Amino acid sequence: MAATHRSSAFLRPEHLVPVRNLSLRAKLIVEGMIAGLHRSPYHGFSAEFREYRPYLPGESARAIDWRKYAKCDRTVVRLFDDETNLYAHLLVDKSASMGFASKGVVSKFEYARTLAASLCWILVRQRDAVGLCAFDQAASLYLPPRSTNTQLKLILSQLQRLGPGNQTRCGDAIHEVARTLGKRGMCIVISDFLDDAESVIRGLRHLRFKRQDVLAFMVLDPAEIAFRARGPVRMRDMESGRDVLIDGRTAAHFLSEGMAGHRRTIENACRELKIDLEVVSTDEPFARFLLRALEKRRRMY
Amino acid sequence: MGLSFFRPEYLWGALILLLPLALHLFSRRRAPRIEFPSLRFLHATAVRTSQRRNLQRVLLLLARLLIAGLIVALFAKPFDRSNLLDVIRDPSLSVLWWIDPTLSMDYRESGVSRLQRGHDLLDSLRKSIAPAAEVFEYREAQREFVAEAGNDDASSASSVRCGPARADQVLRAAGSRVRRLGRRSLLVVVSDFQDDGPQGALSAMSTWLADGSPPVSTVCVSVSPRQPWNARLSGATPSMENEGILTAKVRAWGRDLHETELVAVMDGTRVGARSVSAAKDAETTVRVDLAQTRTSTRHAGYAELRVDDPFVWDNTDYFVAGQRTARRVLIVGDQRRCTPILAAFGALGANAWSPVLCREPAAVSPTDLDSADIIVLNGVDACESALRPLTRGRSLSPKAIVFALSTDSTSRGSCLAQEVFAHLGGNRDARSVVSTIPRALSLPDTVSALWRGFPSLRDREVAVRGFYSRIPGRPLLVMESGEPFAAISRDSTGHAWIVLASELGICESNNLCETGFFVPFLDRLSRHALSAVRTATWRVVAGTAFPNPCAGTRRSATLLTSEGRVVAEWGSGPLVQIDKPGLYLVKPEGEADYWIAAGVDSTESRCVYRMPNVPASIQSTVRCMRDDEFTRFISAGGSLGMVQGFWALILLLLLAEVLLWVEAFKNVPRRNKSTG
Repeated sequence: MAATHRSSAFLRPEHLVPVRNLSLRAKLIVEGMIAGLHRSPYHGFSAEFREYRPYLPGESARAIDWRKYAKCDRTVVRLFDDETNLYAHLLVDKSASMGFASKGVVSKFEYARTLAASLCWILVRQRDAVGLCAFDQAASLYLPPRSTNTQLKLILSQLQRLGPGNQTRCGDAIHEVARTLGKRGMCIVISDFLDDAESVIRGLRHLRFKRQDVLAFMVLDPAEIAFRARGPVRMRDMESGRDVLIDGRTAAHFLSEGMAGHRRTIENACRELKIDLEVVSTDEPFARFLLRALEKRRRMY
Repeated sequence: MGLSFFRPEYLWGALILLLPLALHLFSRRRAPRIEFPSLRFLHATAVRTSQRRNLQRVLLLLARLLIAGLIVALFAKPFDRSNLLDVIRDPSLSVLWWIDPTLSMDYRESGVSRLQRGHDLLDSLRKSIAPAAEVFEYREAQREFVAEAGNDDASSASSVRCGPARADQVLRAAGSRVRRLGRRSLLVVVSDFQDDGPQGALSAMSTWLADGSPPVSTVCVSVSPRQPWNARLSGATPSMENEGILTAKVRAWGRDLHETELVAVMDGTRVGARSVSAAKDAETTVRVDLAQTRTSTRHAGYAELRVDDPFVWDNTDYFVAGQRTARRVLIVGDQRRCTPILAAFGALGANAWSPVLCREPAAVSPTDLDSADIIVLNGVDACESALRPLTRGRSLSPKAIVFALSTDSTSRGSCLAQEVFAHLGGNRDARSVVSTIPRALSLPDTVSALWRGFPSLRDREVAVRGFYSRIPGRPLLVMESGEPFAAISRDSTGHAWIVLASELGICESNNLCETGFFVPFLDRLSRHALSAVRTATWRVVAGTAFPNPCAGTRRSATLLTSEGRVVAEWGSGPLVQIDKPGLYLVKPEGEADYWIAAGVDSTESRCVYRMPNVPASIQSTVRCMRDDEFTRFISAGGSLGMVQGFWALILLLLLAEVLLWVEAFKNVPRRNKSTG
């Protein structure tokens, strides 16, 4: 782990120490290759009893529950849940809008890849397989999930190399990623979701259709939540390059109202799709946010 | 419309407008360039809203600048140069003013004369015009508008004068002054605009304006009384003869006379009273029951209306102020029949009439005639040679002659009467008439110089049975039938003749000498005849020029008041003038002194007032208004129309500002508190 820390600027002890004893558990059943922390759809040898089934000839007699046989004179076999590891995909938005940083705070992309690196470290540490997908208009980078430390290094190095790119088409990109997913697993989407709300919801729905446990992080800058300006301002769209000369107070009114409406739409959709959505402002200390998010998930599941 | 300002120095205050303008310009930052993740929420509505807010901001700035500018302009007192009334505010203005000084301006309402009201108006005007404006007032002596030296009250101290207004001279002087000044001028004429004849202010102003091109902007301020009025009582002589009933006529001019007390007094005792009401401009007859007293029924009293006379002038001095020297009287006639005349002059006092001689016609000597100041010819029929100088133009100083005709002669009339009628140019066919019905006398008026203040004339006390009809001259006293009883005329030699239609003294044709009317009647007639010597053909009206009696004689005369104070020296000029009404003594060089009476033009008491007619073509430069309207304008402190317009504009701008604020408030984005 020390080696891993040294290799990445995103994994900092002050971020990870508070969460070292926490784990990121899937709330749904996932299909893994090896034993792990997460519930598997298969019967296994964990301590969790699942059901009885009739003994089949040819099976080992060790599996027969003799106590049950003594009570009801039937030979039945006790089945236990299997516990497996997790196949997780980190979907990181690298569109141009993610490069925005208001005064005094880090950019949204910086916050997002720190979050991605931290989650990646947590998942690898609990022997889950982690993959990475970066997207803007489309998925531009894809690393299939693996649970090795090498994968962690690889993901960190890739995150290091990533930077804000083109105009976002978040919904389409998620949609594209969802098509490639086979097993049940976890998808962690880190984005500002500044795309058409319907498109975004359609992508998220596709992930849920693929039986993915979706965890969404909506990373916003404080200026996006409450824009403040007075007098005339010339505003430039970072993605489209559109210029608008506008009164600051009017712009603040429309931007704040628009963003609030967009957020409400996304939140309502996530609630319907049983997706955990965490909205985070980049002015919130990262360690505190990470601890808050993991604690919340631990309490829930 | 030409906008100008009464206090232009206040316009420097407009520099304050630079402050908000500078604040606006300096606070106008260049729009900072801001990169934002996504402007998908800034749709067209936002841009339009922003543009509207920018426009509102500019409009707000303009509204505030305008409001501040208008307030500064209000402080500077705006006025419209093209508006005649606003011209008064012009600092480069010359104001020429004239107050009508005629006697009618002495009309009093609530104790304040119209003249004083006019001066009050001009005092207000002086305070209202710009300090730099020049003010000229008309001076009668110089017949010129002269510049006022500060706000002296010399003009305010002036009083009314008699005579015509001579407004035409004033207007000519105003025209010439304006031409000399060569700058914008305003003529302010303050008058009651009484309809008092062709020389009055009303006529002169109307004529001046009728030309259609007055050389100067003019404001005519009328100070005529709101309800001009006057009242006259006539024929009211209390007497117990008429079954103790007083009958009087009351005439009310200008307004109704309500519940006014008419009081009858006899021997200083109030013997009757009644409340009188008379309709406007109508005459009403009043009957008053008199209380029985011990007083002799033959003694007359007087009656009076207890009203305040709004137009005060009287001729008391004319009769009351006595002559300094007694006048010599010669009575020619039958001595027995003339005894009452002799007694009457004696009763009037030796200070007034002395000596009083009585001669038979045949015994009159030229010395008697020459030494007498007044000659009373009573019932003389024959054309005595001694009396020829009176009718033949012989060298005899002008005399006052009272000729009482005898009706005891034949129907052809007396010889002397025929000769006198011919001498006076009268009707030669005058006949004596003997009436079976006694004729009473009535005073033609109670306001003329002769009859004003006459003590008493009881109705039907005097009975005239025989009289001459159609006597020559201007009637002074008439009978009930309308025929003259006394008439005055002047012959070519300067004698003043008062011809009486009937005899004086003891006679059968009338009972004059038996009545209380006789003594004052004789006194007044004699004094009037004396005053009319040499002036019989021209009536002396105070303030009006009349022919100089010394003209062409190479002699001068001194004019003295009844108190002996020298008033004027008359040279050989064609016209002379007496300024105040009253009795004056004329002392010509080398001739006998004589008295003349200066009266007042009766038109001055006419309660008829009109505004001058202003043709429509000059209504922009000439305005006529009442005094209260003028006062309102002056006290407004600025042009009413323009100031009100400014205030209306300010209110509109304030309303616009409020609406812009409300609109801006609607568009102000509320702070979004949901920060996630």
